[in-house]
Amino acid sequence: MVFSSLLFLFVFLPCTLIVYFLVPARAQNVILLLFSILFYAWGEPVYVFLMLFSCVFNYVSGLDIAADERHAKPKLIFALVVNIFMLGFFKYWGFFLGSINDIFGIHIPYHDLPLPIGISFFTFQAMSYLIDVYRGEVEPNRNIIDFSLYIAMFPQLIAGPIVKYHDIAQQLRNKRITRVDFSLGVQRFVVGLAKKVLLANTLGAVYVSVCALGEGEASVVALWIGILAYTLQIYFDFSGYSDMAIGLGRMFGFQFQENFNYPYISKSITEFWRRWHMSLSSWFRDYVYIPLGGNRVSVPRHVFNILVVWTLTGFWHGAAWNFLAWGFYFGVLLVVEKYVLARVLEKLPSVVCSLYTLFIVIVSWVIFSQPDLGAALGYLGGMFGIGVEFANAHALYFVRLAAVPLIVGAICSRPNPWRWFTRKQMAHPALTTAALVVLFVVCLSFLVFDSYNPFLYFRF
Amino acid sequence: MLRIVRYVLVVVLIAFIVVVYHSNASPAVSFQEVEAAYTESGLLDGLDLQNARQLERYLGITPEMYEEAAYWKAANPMSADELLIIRAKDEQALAAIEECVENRVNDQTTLFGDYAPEEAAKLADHISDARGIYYVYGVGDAADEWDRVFNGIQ
Repeated sequence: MVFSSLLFLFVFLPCTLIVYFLVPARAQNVILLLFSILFYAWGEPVYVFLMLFSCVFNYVSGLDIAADERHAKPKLIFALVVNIFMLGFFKYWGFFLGSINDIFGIHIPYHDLPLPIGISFFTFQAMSYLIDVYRGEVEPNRNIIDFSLYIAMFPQLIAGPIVKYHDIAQQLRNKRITRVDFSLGVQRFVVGLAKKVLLANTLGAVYVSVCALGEGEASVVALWIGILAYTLQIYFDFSGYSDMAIGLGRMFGFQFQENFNYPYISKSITEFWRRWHMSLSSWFRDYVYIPLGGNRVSVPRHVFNILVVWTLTGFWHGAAWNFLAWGFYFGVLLVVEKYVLARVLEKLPSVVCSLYTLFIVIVSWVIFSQPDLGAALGYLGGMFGIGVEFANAHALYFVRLAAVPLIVGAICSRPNPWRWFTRKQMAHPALTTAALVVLFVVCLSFLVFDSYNPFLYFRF
Repeated sequence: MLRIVRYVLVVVLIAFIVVVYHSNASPAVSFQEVEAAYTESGLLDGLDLQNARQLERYLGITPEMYEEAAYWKAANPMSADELLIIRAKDEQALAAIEECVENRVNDQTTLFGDYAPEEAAKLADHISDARGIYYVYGVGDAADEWDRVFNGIQ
C-alpha cells in the first residue's frame, strides 16, 4: 500500500486515525502497531514475517546486550551479523552470485527473490538501536510493543526517514498530540502528496518517455531534458514521501527527523549531502565514518574512510554495479572537494558554485537511474553529443512537453515558495487552508487516472 | 535464556528463507535465457517482437513496472495472438502488470467478441502465470505450450 493511493487515503488512514484516537492513550501504541503490520502485510503478505522477526530478534538482542556488559561485544556482533545476513541475502544474494558467474564464466544456479519492501530502512533502524544500547547511549526498551512500533511504524517503515532510537525513545513512552500538531501534520502530508502526485509523477513520465526513445530518435536536447526531469522527479518523489511520513508521524504524535533541506540550492557536494537524505547520511556518519576514525586521522586514512563510507552508501541503494559506481563517484568528488577544490570554491561567485554542484549531481543521477553502467555511459555520451544529433523532431516535442513541469519543478525545489506560503498562512490562515484543500482535490483527480505510482525509493 | 531465544529465532529465520527460496522463486536463469527459451522453441510463428512503447501502448505497462520484458504480437491485425514475458521490478509492480493484462484481456474480448468468436475463444483460454517476479501472459493456439516452456525453465 502506498500513501498516494486512494485505498490508503480513504480507507486505511481514516480507519487508523479513528481507532487510534478512540482508544485510551495507553493502548494507542498497540493500535498503531497492529495497523502498521496490516499496512505492511497488505503489500508483503509473506515478507511481513521478516519485519516481525526483526522486531522480536532485535528486542531480545537489545535486552541481552544490556544484561551482561562483559560479553556485550560478541552479542552485539552476533546481532549485527544476523541483521546484515538478512539484508544481504534478500538484497544482494542474486547480485553476488550473478557477478561471480559473470566474472568467472561459470553458472552457479540461483533464484532471483523479490526484494522485501523497506528492508534496508528497518534493518538500519534496528542496527542503530543495537549499537546505541551497546554504547550505553540508550536504555534497552523493555516493552516489546513500543520497540516493535519503533521498527514497524507505518509512516516511516517503507522508505524512511531512518529514525534513530534515541530520537524517538521518549515519544514512544509518552507522547502529546495537540490540535496544532495534528493540523501541521495534515498540512505536511498534503504538501508531500502534491510533490509526489503532481510534480514527481509528471516529471517521471517525461524521463520514461525519453528513455524509451529508439535507435536514432534520441538527441542531446532530449537526453538533457530527460535527466533534468529525473533530477527533479527523484527529489520530489523522495522528499514528498518524507514529507508525508513526517506529516503522518506528527498526526500520531511523533516528530521525525527532517530528511531534506532544499538540496538543489547547495553550493558544494559536501553541502548537498548535508541537505539530501539527511537521515541516511547521519546514519553512516554515526555508525561507520566516526568509528573508522572520521577526519581525526592521517590524510590517506581519511581518504580511505570517505571512499568506504560513500561506496557503502551507494551499495545500500541497490545491488548493482552502477550504485557502487554512484557511491564511489561521490566519494572521489568529496575527497577532491575537501583537499583540492574547497579553497577554490570559496572564491567563486555563488551562482558558479551552484551550477558546479548541480552539474555533478545531474551526472550522478544518470549513473543512478540507468539499469546498468553500460546504459549510463551511453546516456552520458549522448548528453554530450556522442552518437546522437543535437536536436530533432522528438527533441522539439519534449521541449513542449517538459517546459512547464521543469520550470514549475525548478521553482518548487527552492525554499522561496514555501517561505511565501508560510508568510501568507500567518496573514490569511483561512485562505491557505482553502488552498491546501484545493491542492488535495487536484491530487485526487490525478490519482483517479493513475493508479500505479510507486515511490522510487521503494526499490531500496 | 535470552541467548537461547536468539538462537531459536535465527533457526526460524533460516527455515523461513529456505521455504521462501524454494517455493516462490523466479527461474534461476537470466531474462535473456528465458527469452531464448521462447525464440528457440519455434512457437512464435506469425508474431512480431514489439518495443517498449508498443508494450505501453497496447497493454499500458510502463517501463517503471519492469526490469526487462519481451512482447510479441500477431502481425495480422485480425488476430488476438500475443505473448508477453516480463521481469517485474518487485511484487507490487507485478500486481500492477497483472492488472494491466486483465484490462487488456477484457478490452480485447470486447473488441473481438462480436465478429471473431474464434479469437474471443483464444482470449478466454489465455495464460497468465507468475514465478517470483517473472510473469508470462499469452493468447494463441500455442498458449498452453508457452506456459509449459515457462514452467519448464529451471
